[in-house]
Amino acid sequence: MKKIFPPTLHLIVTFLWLLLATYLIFFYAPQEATMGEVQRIFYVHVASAWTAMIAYLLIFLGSVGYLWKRRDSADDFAHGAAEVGFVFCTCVLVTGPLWAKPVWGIWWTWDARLTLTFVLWLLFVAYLMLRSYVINPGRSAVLAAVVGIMGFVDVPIDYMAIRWWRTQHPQPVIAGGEGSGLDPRMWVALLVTWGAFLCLFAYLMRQYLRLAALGREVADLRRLRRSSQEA
Amino acid sequence: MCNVYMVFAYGLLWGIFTFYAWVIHGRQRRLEKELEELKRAAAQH
Repeated sequence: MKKIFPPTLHLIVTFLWLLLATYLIFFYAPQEATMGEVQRIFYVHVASAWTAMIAYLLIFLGSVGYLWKRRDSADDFAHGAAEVGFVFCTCVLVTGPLWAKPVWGIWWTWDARLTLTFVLWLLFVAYLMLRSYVINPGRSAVLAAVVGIMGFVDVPIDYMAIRWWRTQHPQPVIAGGEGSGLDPRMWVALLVTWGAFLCLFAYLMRQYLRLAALGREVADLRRLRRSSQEA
Repeated sequence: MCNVYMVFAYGLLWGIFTFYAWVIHGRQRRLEKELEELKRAAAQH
């Protein structure tokens, strides 16, 4: 992977993709009729939300993989997805209220979708706190994997919330059945933005995995040094 | 083109990602430095 697609090239591709997404959001996608300019928050809000959900899916897969095979690589994968996913989920919770205030007149309401997304953010926080507070690495990995698997229940409910309950959050415009839909140019802008966010997510994951590999190397050398000092 | 909420949202997003990239880069540099020191100490022994 490192030889075929080196990190520097990955960073350049991510940057260019984000530039293209920015261009499409501001100059290609049409202005929404009722909300006006502020609706352009939609592209980054939805793309961040989808990426955060995919991140939790990766935590789930990494956690199952770790409990099954007990491989450190699966644990690193889940931990990395939690850290980067937390960043994307924070972006959802930041852009949401900034869009809600001018459109709904309120920053926040405890409706099903908003509450479940907040719960998802708390799950990311819980996972990361568990990783830092439990000192024993093996124990920390097992407990985090359990949280990763159990917490995944929130993701499909969060996704379906606007389909099951009619509350403050708008009904789905994507895969929402009859009467829903987007202007084709809005679709293009949204998909390109999501692609750029996935590319950024993959880049940050690679950086995290490198960090985890370095951490293991340092821990091994420290252990070796301690044992040689004791002997 | 210039809605204050939209500008604020995009600014915050840029800030969050830049901050995280800076944090992860800093952690990598600290670990690389520690690894070098440990390797040097091991070589001296």
